[in-house]
Amino acid sequence: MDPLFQSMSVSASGMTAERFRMSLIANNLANVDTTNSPGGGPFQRQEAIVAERSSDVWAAAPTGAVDEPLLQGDSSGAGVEVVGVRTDTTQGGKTYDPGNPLADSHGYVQQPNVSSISEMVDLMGAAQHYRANVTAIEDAKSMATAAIGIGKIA
Amino acid sequence: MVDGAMMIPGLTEVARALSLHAFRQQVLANDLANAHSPGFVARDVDTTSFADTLDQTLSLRPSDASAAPISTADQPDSGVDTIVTAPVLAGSEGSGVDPDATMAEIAANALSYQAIATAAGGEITLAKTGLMG
Repeated sequence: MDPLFQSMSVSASGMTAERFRMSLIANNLANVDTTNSPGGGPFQRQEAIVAERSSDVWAAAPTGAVDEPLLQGDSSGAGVEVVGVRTDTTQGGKTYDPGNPLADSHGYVQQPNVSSISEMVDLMGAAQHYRANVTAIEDAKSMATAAIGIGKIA
Repeated sequence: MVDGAMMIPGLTEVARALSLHAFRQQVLANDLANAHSPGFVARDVDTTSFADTLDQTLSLRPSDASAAPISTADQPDSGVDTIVTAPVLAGSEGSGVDPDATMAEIAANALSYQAIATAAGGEITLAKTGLMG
């Protein structure tokens, strides 16, 4: 595949990963006060684990510059993918609320380990990184447009 | 490269420079996409000798302006195939990627590509003038 289309694919994988992070962050924020989760206990925040995608995804694609094989291959990178979701098992704070049915024998209710401030910071980071990937695609697009224009009769 | 490109002097070099920039764009896009991958080390094309090749190709250096036209035979061995691992910077989220610096590199790379594409158009216009008068 043409390296420009490959770089668009790479940036698209970055956008997908960032969108997934944002959906987890949104879920964490929505559950910032959830003291009772389906598995019992308070909600536990989740975060995405991302890793570099294997270059095997290019293996099926025909290569473009046949006389320059060194410009192809594993070293160029194939983007990013979400490899898992980690559940943060650290304990959140406790609030004193003896009337709550979830309160323990001392009257304390275990709160979720979600900090809305740090989630907002992560959300902004993910959004910014998403935009950065969009810009990289725009750049690759402008490069392809410039290549199309070579030899154009003015 | 296509044999027909040999008919137009300089076009082969321009094509090589273009394919280099396209390749580098992919490497940099991969760095950016992996800005949040823990343990990822940013990569880049070794541009030291590449910059020399580019300057020579475009005759940007004043000292090279009077030099003979570059032929494929005396083209220096450009380090285009070399991927170097950049030093790990204090990047975000445990990866060795500085997103802002990578963005700047991507923008500069795209601009260079467009400049070279324009140069290629100029080469073709010149050849056409030579052919058709």
